[in-house]
Amino acid sequence: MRKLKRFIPFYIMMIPGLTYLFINNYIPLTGLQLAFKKFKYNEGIFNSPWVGMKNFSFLFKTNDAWVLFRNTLGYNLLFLVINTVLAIAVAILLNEVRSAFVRKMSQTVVLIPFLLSYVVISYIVYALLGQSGGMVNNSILKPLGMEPVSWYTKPKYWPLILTLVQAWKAFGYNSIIYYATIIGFDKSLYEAAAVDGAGVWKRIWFITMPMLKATVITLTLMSIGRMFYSDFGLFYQVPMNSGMLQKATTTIDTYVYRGLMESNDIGRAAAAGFLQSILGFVTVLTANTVVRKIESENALF
Amino acid sequence: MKKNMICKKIASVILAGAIVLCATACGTGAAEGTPADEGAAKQEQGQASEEKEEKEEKGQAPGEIEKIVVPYMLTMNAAEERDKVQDAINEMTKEKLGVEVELLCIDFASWSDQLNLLLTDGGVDLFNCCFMSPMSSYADSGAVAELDGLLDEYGQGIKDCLGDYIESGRVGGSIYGLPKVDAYSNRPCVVMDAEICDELGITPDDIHNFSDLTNVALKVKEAYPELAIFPTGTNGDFLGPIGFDPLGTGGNNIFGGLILADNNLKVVNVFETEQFEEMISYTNEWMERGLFVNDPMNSQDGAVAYLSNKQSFCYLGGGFDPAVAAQVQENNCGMRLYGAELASVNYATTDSVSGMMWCISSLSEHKEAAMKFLNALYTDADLANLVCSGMEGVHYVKNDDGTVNFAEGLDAFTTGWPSGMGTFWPNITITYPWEPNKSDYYESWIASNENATLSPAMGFTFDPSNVTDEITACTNVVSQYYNTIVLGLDDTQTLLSQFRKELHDVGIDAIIEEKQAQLDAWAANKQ
Amino acid sequence: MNMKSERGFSNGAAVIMVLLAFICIFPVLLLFMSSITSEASLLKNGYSVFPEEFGFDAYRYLWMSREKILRAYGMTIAQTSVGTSLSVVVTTLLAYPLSRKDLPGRNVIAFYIFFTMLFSGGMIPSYMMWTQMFHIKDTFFALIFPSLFLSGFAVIMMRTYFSTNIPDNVLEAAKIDGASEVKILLRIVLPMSKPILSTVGLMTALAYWNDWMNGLYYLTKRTDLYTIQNLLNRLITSADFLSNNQANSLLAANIQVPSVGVRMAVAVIAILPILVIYPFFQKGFVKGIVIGGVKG
Repeated sequence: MRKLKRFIPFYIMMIPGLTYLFINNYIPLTGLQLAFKKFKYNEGIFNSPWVGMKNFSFLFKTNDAWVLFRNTLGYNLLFLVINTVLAIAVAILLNEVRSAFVRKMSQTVVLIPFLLSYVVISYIVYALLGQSGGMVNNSILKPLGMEPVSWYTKPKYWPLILTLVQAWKAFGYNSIIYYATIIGFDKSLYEAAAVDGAGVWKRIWFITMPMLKATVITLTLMSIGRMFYSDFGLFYQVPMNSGMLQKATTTIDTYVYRGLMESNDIGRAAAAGFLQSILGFVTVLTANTVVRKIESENALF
Repeated sequence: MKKNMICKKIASVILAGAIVLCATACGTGAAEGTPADEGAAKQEQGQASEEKEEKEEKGQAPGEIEKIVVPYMLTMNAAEERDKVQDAINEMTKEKLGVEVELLCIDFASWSDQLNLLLTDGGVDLFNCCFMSPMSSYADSGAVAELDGLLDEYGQGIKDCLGDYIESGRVGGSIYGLPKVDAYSNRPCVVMDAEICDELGITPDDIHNFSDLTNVALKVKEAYPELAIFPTGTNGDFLGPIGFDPLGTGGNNIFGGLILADNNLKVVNVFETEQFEEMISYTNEWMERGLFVNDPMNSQDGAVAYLSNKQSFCYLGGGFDPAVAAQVQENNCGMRLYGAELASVNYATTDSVSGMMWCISSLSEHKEAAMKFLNALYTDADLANLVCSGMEGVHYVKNDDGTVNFAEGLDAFTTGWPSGMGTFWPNITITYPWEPNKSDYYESWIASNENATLSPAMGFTFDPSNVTDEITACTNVVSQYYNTIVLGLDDTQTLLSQFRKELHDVGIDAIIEEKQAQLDAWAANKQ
Repeated sequence: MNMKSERGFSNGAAVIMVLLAFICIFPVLLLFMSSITSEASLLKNGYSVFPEEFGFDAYRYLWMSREKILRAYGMTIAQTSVGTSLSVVVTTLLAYPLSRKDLPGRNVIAFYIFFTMLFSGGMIPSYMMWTQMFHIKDTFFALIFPSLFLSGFAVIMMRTYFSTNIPDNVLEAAKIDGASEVKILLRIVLPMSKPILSTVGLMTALAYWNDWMNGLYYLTKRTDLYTIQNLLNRLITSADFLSNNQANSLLAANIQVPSVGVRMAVAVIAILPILVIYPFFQKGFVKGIVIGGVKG
């Protein structure tokens, strides 16, 4: 009883945040029922008629259903691995840089790509890869005596291009979390290691990496929950909606966008989102259970 | 006691936030920042509703005045003098109709997003359903009200204006939308750089179809090897010369329709017609001979930008009269233009009539008032001039010949009431034409309607709700193949057969069957 | 020997970071050069760092709306600072208790928070709630509260930081000294957590700075409350949309369509200020939080 009393301030602290989440995130969840309804503006969400699973069928009535899910999942897995490795590497490098100027400057500048919208990034990518005016063809391949490549018509290059573009946009942002974690570490551990004669690599490998584990697991679990979502801007705007690339660039979100663009079909859009969430939810629950078995401290819940 | 402490602590943390806020915000909006969470939102709400009451009081003074909200589409220019124009409108409508109007300015680009949301809570009463999903889908989802009863009571003027064209707003048994008064028919045409035409002795009369256009294009290319002839390949204007009626489904949903030249009610798959093959043989030839701009598929700029910057010789478009189609762009391009036809017949289809439909929100509490105001927009020349062109002497001045132009010192950018969107309103044909149009400009619109050839399915609107899955799948297939085939970027023959096969696989035939069945039922009903 | 190799590593790290920074800054250079390239040259040659022909139409065009742009910057700064300060406070208050391993119900609450990251009811239900229950439309609060105010991601990140970077024995010692939990948070935990506070602050600030959806959906009448992103997004999307539809016969004459160059210029003026503000922001922010805590 006395123990519980000690926790009362904690519960009070949490009230504003929990209330906000209830309002902003939980109340609108009533909208999930639209996935099983035909939305009627004049009837509102609650009184619109039920249609069962009808809203879901459009996702599977295509030859490409398999491709959609494969692309969405495949890219997400790829991005997850690459982003994590890059972010940790950059964070460690930043921490090792002695020059305060370089550290401050690069810390700011690596965030620039994150500030650009994918519409603008699509212009930049086009400036680089355009058939006749693109800088890669004009300024790199030509001087090397190589044939120009028609990037926007060759799907085989796009898994690489999309991965690079998204890594470029995200790495600065991702690394700030790891960087914050690293500079928050207890410095005495490093000093002790230095006294023991451990080199840079050893310190990184035996001190920094183990201490980053919790953050890595948390971030990974969180991105697993969004495994079935894809960034529409990356997969639609960056390839310029080019039809010939579609096999390599189509994901669940671009399929839904292309199909529903003209029809304002709220029920179907809700159905697609619902399916993506449910699949992500199941995946993340599984992953979290596994983590709890191995390292209960690092499980999300 | 302890609780007090906690409150104090929490307050101090919030205070810390406020300190930062002051440091960075230099005071902007700081006052609003301190009260936390929703409590503050409620306070603001109180303010907002007070404002509302104030406005309503003003409105209610002379008796029963109903207030309606009408969204107005902004292009690039903001309507800085919206309030002035709104007051002028209300001066007219309050007395005559007992209606007060609030104009809600919404950007072109976010028009459809914002209206879809506003329609959920009755935030608009009367609106133009353009650049949104087809009106039929709003009728289907209960977003727009049935208008038949209201039309009988308050809309006689509209009925007189529209005549038989009113049928294009019928979905199922009822009318849900009203087309604006317009030149309803059009034919495909090409708009060309007049200077080059004159120099090479090309006249609009030389061109009547794609074959003539190809000859002219090659001639221009010979004289100007550096100049591209055609701009982007991404706008579907190539389908124009086929003469195709997609049966009221608009936009990209071109799965199944009528070939207008056949003049029958047989729904065909346009991608399997001879006409389509002929069209792509031309566009492929253009591509092969280097007549397109670089990377036509990925162009970021519109067709008109290429022309006006002298980066292309022409672009493909449509209009009820090729010469007029060229003329309306002359101001934008800052150059002389010629327009030539690519087909000789002006067709009117449900789609060509229903591009801009005026609807009343089903959640509107003032449907009668909205209809009264709409009727006035169709029939009252003073009101139409006001909404289309702004206020006389302020935004425009009359010329001697009955046309109008910007008031002294104003231009398209600096005017407080953008006139470029006159065609947005229900009836521009009763207003003064703008320079450089002739004073009988709008008479020619009306005349073109009388000479138009009506599609045999004119007035029929397809209800897609039974085949939406197939439409989604087909739309994705078209986006995968269409541009590549039209521009001949890969082996066209192989791709074309793949394209057709995939469309079959994902159910284009089901869409065509459904269209045919609905069309037959409609035709039987009509007789 | 050891010192030498360490210095070598540090220098190597510096070189790599400078290279990465260049890769990040290069596109902005490209954007900037495109924005001062003449329209005809852009259409003909595409984008280049060395334009053939200069043109300043894009900035002339933006100059005409300078008053609006300045005002919108003001709104963005107000939105970002008010939103971020409030948000970091609420996030910290939620994350700290969760990091305490002995808190009863900790996992349930963590799940409650995590769940919000997975499921969303969609735009329409959110819109209906915020406008009909909270009447947030056309108020300044529309820029702060819907969707952006508190992210489960930030809460969980902060929780992870507290539980890994604040040693348990420090907390135990404070407890034995008889400090209250609130005191422990303000006097001990917060000063030790500057890195994560500034990181979460930065993440929230970036989210607010980049936001244009709230303004788009909730500010229909009060366009004077538009932030810079609203204004710029409006310019970019309208320009895109217009240039693709200009040949459309539904649109008549007298419509100005800004060029690709304008879109580039817009992107440039949207990101430059944050580069200027960011260092100050970072410094001041953490100080504000920590000083506020210690003084209280």
